[in-house]
Amino acid sequence: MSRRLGVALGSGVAWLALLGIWWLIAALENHPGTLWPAPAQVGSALWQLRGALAQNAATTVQEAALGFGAAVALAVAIALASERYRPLAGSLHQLAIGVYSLPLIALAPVLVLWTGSGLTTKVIIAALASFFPVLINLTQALRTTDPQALELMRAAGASSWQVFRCVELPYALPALFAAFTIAAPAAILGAMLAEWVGANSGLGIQLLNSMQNGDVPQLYACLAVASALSLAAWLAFTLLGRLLFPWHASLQPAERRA
Amino acid sequence: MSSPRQPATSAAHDQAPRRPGHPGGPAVSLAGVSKRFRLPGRELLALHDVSLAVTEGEFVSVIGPSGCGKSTLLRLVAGLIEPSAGTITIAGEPPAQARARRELGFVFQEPTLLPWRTALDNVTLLLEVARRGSAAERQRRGLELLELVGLRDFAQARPAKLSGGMQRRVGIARALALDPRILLLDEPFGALDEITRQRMNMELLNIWTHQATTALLVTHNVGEAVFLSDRVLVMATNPGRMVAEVNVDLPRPRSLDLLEDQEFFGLSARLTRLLHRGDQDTGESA
Repeated sequence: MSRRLGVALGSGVAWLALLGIWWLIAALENHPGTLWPAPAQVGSALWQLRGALAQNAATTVQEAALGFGAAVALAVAIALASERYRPLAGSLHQLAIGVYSLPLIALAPVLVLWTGSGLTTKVIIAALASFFPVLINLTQALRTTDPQALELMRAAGASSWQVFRCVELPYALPALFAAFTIAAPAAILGAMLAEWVGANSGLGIQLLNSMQNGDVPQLYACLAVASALSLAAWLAFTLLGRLLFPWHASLQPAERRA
Repeated sequence: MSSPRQPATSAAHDQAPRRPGHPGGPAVSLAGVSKRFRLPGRELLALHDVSLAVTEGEFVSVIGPSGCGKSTLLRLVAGLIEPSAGTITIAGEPPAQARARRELGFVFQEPTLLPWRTALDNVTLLLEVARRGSAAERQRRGLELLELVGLRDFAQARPAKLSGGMQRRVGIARALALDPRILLLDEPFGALDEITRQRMNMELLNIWTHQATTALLVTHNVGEAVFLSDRVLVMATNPGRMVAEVNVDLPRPRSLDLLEDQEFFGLSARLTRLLHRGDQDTGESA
């Protein structure tokens, strides 16, 4: 308990120090308030723009959530298919790596030409940004299931579906949630990136507009909201993972021996 | 089902049928079994021309140095791998059939419990797989088995909360859940300290006495083999093969007092000698 308190205190001090440095730079800046707005200025921008920020954040979250959902569905399907039918695995993964290596920033304009600057482009980019970590983590987890647990099931005459349901899936779920903690913030990033290419609303486009208007406090306010969203997405899946898989090795104290 | 067996006498075992086809014949029988593994660039002869028979109700141990293929032997009997030559039968059937009829109970060196399941749910896992009984019946059977291994009070505990010895007892209870005809034990207590191991041996013996199953144990511990078995088979490495067979004519029921018995010492010394001689043979032929 006292160790926890120490950690909390330590991180509190670190954040305060960071805020102090920020404030110091803002105060020493030649043209106060232009490039380095003081924390208080950003705070007041956040408050004044709360309506617009909330609306834009809602748009971005919607795009990111749809993209994330699509990515997870696709990645899980591919991981399971390549696990069941090993010969498929090679070509499916080559395809996935090919798609992954496409620079999203270059792909976004192409998608706008194809599908217009509506929701579709953002969802696709968000999905592409979050797809790969889910696929890789899940594939890895399915392949590294405790081989003895698999033998145990086979020796007892279990069907492959039973092996999957009772052993492989539960072993893979914590890894899947670990992947979500990376993929969900990536989806938010992808959605904002896609908005830069053209959008009516969203945090990304608000960010771009405030940059073009030289409205630095608003720029920082957008940045703060975007960070908060990513952090919330990470935190949500981390906590959910802990809640759902309290047995997982990463959450256990050192293994006890007889 | 839980009728205590008669103490096995040496006479009964000398007369025990060792050939297939006998009435009440062999529970496990291997004839001329070899196993080759194809490794990158070479072939490994893990087992060479192994023949053995385990009678129904008998406790047989296989001892040998590491790498002699004794675990391979067990996995062949379980039908987890196929022999390269020779035949294996479980009560007259091929292993795959025995497995499908859930006649095999397997205990591994690591407890291999599923960490998200409670002790009880780990024990009932294979009953679920076999779709045997209703959920309530499975639970009742699971609790019975936990009682048998002395873990009734830990039914709802997850494996991480159990000690190594307790985890192994759960593993044994799980192996017994399907009332297997044959219990296959692959160095089940190899990772335990000496005191815990001896205690576990005693418990295993009690359990085996109550369950009336056949047991085939693989171990590298001579004392464990003598303490538990009716018969000990000695293996040597390179290639893995049978080199000797020793009957353990110690009276049953056995207790830990046996560990101080002259006859126990004598048999252990003899088996140790045989193990070393097996090793020497290899040295000379290589």
